[in-house]
Amino acid sequence: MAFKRGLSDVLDAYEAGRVHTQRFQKNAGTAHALQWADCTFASGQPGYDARVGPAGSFTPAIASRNDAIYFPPILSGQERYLASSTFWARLASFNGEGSLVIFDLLGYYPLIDGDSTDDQAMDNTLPLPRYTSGEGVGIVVVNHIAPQLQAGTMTLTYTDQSDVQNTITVSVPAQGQNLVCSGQDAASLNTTTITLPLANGSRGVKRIDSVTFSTAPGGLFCFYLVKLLATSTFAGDNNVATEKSYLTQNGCAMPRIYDGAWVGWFDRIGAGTSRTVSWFGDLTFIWG
Amino acid sequence: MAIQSLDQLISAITAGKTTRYDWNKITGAAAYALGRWYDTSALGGLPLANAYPGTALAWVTCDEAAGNGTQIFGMPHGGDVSADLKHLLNMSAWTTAATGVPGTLMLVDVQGYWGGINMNTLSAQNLTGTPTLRYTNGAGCRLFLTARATTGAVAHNLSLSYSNSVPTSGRAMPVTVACTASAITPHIVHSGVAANNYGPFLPLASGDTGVSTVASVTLSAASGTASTAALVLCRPLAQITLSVVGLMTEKDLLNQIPSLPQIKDGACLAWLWGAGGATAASTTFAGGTEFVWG
Repeated sequence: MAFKRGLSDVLDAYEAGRVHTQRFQKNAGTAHALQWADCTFASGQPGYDARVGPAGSFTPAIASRNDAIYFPPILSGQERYLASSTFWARLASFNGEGSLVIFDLLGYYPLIDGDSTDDQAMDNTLPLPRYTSGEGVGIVVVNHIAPQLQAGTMTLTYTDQSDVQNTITVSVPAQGQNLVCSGQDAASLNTTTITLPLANGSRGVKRIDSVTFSTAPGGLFCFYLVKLLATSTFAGDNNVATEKSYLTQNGCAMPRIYDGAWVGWFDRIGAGTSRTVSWFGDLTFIWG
Repeated sequence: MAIQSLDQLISAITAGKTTRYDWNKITGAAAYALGRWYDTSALGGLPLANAYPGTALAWVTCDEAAGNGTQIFGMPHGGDVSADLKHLLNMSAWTTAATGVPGTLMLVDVQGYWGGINMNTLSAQNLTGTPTLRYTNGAGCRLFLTARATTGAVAHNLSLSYSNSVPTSGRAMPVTVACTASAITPHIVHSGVAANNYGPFLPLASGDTGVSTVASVTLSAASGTASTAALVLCRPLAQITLSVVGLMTEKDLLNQIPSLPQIKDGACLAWLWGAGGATAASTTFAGGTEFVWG
């Protein structure tokens, strides 16, 4: 246990240098507004990641070096936590307040064919690298590589945290390439959330087994498996920083960051004008 | 065992005695009206919708593991932790569109409900079953009546006979309570901005601080359309407001609103939505909740 004695152990981590602040700089990606966007689809540091691999094969995301937000390796027996975050949104002008969700990308199924109405079976040769039971793991649908043409509907079969196979039918709203298009039900074609709704009794997803588009949306899709870790907000003004301490502003609930965690974030610009936005800021990790 | 200091809280979190659940709900095909409250447990999303199954007028107990026995509709919060005590630590919430603000989301622990209440009769309806509650004699527990199908257009008031948390039976509401005519699912029918509307909870008699059971429900008039409602007994725990489109509201219940509401073993957690403006059809509400125990 990292901080068994409580606050004094947290302070000791800083005192002993068991702390790392990692800066990031992401250039402007896809224009969006009132939509969730994954900043990975833009150049910068960490670099662009198109989320590609063998079509329909689970591709574990295990961060190494600086392909995701970098944090140093720690000794066996130690635990690492996200202590704070700082986000600047660089916009041409005020574009409305917005929201951020920080996640650990566990892996993804790339290049799902949105033009096909055939059953597409997933290859799950490789397991989840973290949160291996699937407890608390969600599915995020992102249109990538080839643009979606219209709203679609899909039936997705998955195995949950209890190794029970379930099926859900949801829409795939047309949000635009590189943006989240996770529908909430089969009927609503315009509204999205981050993670898909799950079947009765499911508390998470261990793997996706197959998908069938009953209405083909066109384009290509990437299905993420993610563990959402934390939230933050931003002011919407150019270069105004939002700082958040997960110790003092999040009820001491500093998210644990496992070895290999592929840390990223979704943003949601909060106004109706579609804009590109670049980001810079930092995440601070402590361990003990 | 209970968390009694910041040190113990940090120790509990880093010992893994914590969980996070991210939820989302989507309103149905009908718009919601300003000033009214709605039961989002009946909406689709994550977790799935509560369809209020059961025998008409019979009590149905709800909990985390089994929901209402058919739908596990409450937000998971990590299972039973006795002899530790569990608390709600953080909440966040957002909505998709301008039509989702302003408003208030209230988190409640649904103890259970009496379903199948006939909204098209003025006869007294005797409720059956003895509630099993997570709060002794229903201390702090409150009632709301939520439509399960669109009610009729005839104006009607609501009265009921309940037992308070002493428990003393035969208690009545101290004021006239008017239901909204033509209330849609999942409107909490007595909430709104009309005269004699109260919401989200039904008012209690002077001095009463909770409800342990309800003996009967009576409408002053049949609403004019075959329809039913569910009378829900719940314990309010916390609330979070939505003010700005796209801007997630975050609430830290340790530092911002020092309260750390206790989450009982088996708590069946659901959100009520108080619309501060017209809420368009198919509006998404979503957010995250974090819990800790020790």
